[in-house]
Amino acid sequence: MPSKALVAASLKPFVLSILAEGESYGYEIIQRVATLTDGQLEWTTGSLYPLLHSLENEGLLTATWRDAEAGPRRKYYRLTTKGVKALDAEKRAWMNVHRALLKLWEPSGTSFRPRHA
Amino acid sequence: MFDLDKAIAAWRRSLQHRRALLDEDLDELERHLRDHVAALASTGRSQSEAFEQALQEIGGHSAVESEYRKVYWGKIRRRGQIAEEIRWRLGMAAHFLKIAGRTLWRYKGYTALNLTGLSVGIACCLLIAVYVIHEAGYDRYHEKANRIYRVVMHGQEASYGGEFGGIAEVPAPWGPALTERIAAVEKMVRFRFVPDVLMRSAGAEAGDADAERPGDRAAQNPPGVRAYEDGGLYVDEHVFDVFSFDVLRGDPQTALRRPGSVVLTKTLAERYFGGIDVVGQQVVVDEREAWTVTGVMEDVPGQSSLTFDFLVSMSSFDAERLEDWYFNQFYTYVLLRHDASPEDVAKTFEASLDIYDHREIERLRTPHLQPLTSIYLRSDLFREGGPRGSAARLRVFGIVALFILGVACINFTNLATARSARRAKEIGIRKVSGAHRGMLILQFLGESSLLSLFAAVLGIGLAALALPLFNRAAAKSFTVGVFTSTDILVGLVVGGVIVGLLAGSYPAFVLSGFRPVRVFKDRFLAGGAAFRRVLIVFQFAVAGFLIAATGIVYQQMRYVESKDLGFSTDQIIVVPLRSDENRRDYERIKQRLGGHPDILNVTASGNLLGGGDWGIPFVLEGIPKDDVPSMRAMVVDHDFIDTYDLYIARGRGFSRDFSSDTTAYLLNETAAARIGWDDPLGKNISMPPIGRSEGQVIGIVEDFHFRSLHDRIEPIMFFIPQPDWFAFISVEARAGSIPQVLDFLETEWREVAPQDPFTYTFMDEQFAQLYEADRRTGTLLAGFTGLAVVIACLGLFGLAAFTAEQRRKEIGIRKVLGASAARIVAMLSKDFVQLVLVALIIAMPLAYLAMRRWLEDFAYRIEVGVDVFAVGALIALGVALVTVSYQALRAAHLNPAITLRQE
Repeated sequence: MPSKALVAASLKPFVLSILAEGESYGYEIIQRVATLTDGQLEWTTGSLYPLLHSLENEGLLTATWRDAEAGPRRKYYRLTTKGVKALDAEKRAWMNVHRALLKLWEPSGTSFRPRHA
Repeated sequence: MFDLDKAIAAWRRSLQHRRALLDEDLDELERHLRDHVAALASTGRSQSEAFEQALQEIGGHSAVESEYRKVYWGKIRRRGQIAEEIRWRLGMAAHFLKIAGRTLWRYKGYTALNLTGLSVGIACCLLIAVYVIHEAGYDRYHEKANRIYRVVMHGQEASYGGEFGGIAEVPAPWGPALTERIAAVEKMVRFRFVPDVLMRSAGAEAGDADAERPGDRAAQNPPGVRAYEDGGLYVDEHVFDVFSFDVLRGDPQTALRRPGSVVLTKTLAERYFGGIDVVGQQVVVDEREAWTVTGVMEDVPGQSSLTFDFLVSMSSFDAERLEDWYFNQFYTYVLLRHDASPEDVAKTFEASLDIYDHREIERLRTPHLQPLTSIYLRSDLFREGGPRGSAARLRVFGIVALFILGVACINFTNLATARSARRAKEIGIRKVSGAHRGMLILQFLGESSLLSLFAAVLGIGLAALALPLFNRAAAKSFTVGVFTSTDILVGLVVGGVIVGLLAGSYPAFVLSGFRPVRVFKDRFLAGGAAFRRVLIVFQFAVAGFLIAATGIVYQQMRYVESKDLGFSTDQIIVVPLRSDENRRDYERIKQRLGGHPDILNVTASGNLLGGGDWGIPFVLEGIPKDDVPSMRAMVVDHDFIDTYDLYIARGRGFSRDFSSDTTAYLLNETAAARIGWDDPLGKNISMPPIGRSEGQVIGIVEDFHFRSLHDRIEPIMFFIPQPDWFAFISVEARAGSIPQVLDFLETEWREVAPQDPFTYTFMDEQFAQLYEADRRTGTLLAGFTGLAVVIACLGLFGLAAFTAEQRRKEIGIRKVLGASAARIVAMLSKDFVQLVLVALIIAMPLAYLAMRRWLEDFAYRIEVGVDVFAVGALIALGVALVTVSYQALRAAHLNPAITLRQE
């Protein structure tokens, strides 16, 4: 299980990226992440929805309410132009970190293999 | 059967009232729940299990709410609902306040007690604060106050006397010398007392409506007032450049340049001319000189270390005496440059003053700079020239103020807690029906803050009402306006809120935190009770301390006032001889004034006992200069000893039978002991600076207190001076004959000195003045002690009521089982009495230590006995008992049938 910090840090890039594929709603996003990471990464409602709202406050997302088949309607989010730019920035930042770490873990191009006893 | 919709509805209800979750947020969450439940159900779980799990995954209500709260304001901003939101919040605050007010009103008794205690405490603090601020701000109204210093001198000359090494007056040439020689000294201003002068406006005729007391006015046009003025100062012309006095008429730059110029204060101008547009008019002094009024200034503000009624130009002063390096009679102030420091100036002092020659008497005099703003509180030299406060006394009052405020605040907390406990059921119900802790806390804090702010307002009202009384006790003249200064108002509001928050926080946090069910039982506040007990102990410790302290102050004052001074001040009337003519004529005047059957004795003297003693340089036969002890001097005539009932222990007093007695000396026992002659009688003393060659010591006077009992008896000598030194006639009258003697004296005076008004003082009143400050301290202390006790009792009263109510079932049962009212009272009081005893055990030793320090300031003092502590303790205990018994008795008389039935 990744650390809490890692989970928290990855929230924003995940959400933005998933929404880049198309509009979606909270529960669906959670399911998507679970599928993508084989259950490794699981978020609680408590962390996701406030984040969605915060991104909405910042203007990276806009929301629309759509009726559901049964029960209350759903709130669908999608990226704004500002959101697309933010996603780019997240990608770059994440890749920078990734590349730097890779240099340490796989110097001179050899792939990383855990040592066996 | 599990009903998903019902369950979800219930869940939604429990989150509904949370402000951070908008309706649409709840919709979103509900949608999520349903989707999750559906997904879980499809894997085989039952609906109720699925619901449980989904609910768990969402998390606890408070956790959810706190997350949502973080993004709440962003949401509001995005939706453009800021104004609404703010309006809502203000509405909520108003609502809380309304509830708080209603609650306070519902528990009127407690509220009243609380209010009274706290507002009295605040009023006390306010008065003391105003006093302290006033005392600490003397002389600061001068713009350049930070650069003004007074030049004083410390001398080793024996005539200065005992512990006092410093004199506030310095020789005239010092000021100019410093200004010329030291670059850092920008300007200097000297002040010198103008001797009593008889003053009238030039328009009035001599003898018209003489005033017996300054301020008496005859209704004439022009006003025909003639009176002695002793509040005048000669001053250098630059005085208005250095000091910030308000000049109303005339040109400050030139007003005091030419000889014979006088600047009157507003009071004097009105007194002698009826108005202030009097520049150019003349005043006649002593019927022989005329001064021109060149300016009128506002009266000297009360916060001044040097006060005066009029200023005369220094150029009017005898030019020769201005060159005298010997006599020190000039208050000298210097204005330093912006960049100068007094230490640097002080270093150059000795060099610049040594350039000039001294007279043949080598007197080592060390000049010294005092910051102007420190003079009033800290300077205690000889001949200060004005009233002085005391930093120590301010500290004492400050501490007393804090004590009282502490007691009042403790009260407040205690009662607030007790009151909240009473409302435990109300709190329990609120919690069960969904109020959450934050709201309860806010509510309690709101109540107590409201109460304390209200108390603050009441406090100002009380202080304003008490102002006249306080002014009398403290010898000040504050007006109500003094409470409107920004500092005070801000301090009050801030203080009020802080007290409210502090006092309210204890019940707020403690009570809002406990579980609802426990509330419905009695006696749940076992933990809180310990804290309250500590508070009671503190309150009564303070009260006990103050009672004992006041008792000791009064004992000392009584001792001081009734102690045998070694001479008599009763029935002695002192008539001053003010004009040179009168002084020369002293013998004749004395004879006339003494010629009444009810007059036992009459004497003339140059100075008076009670602080009027002089320091005159002297030489003792056979004693080297370094061994000469300090010694003061009284200049008297042959009848002084008898008039004042002094006792000759050895030798004899002055006698007309021996013409050589006019050169003789009397010493007091302390002088004889300190000088170190084997036998003082017959030894010679001389005073070359004033032209007295050797004279013999002919007698030893028994020691007597010629100063206040604060001071040890110092050596003092008596001698008969040259005639023109006599300045006072003292008349001893038979007991009970004062009125007719006064009439007689006045009649005689008008015949021998018709051109001078008749004035007089009583010797015993003058002596009583020495203890003015102490007496004032005692009065104020007594006042505040009373208040502290009242406040402590208020608190006790409330708490006793609370306890009695808490234990009413127990009391009911005991009554049923046959306990008498007395037993019940004892049972209820026992606890409180124990606390008060503990408080007293703490307080009394502290009081002893503190009062011992205060008493050390008196050279002659009482021995502090156990009696004052015992009495003080009894008083405190008695008061506490009465307070508690009232409540206990009331509780004891309740009908058990009623109390046991209540539930």
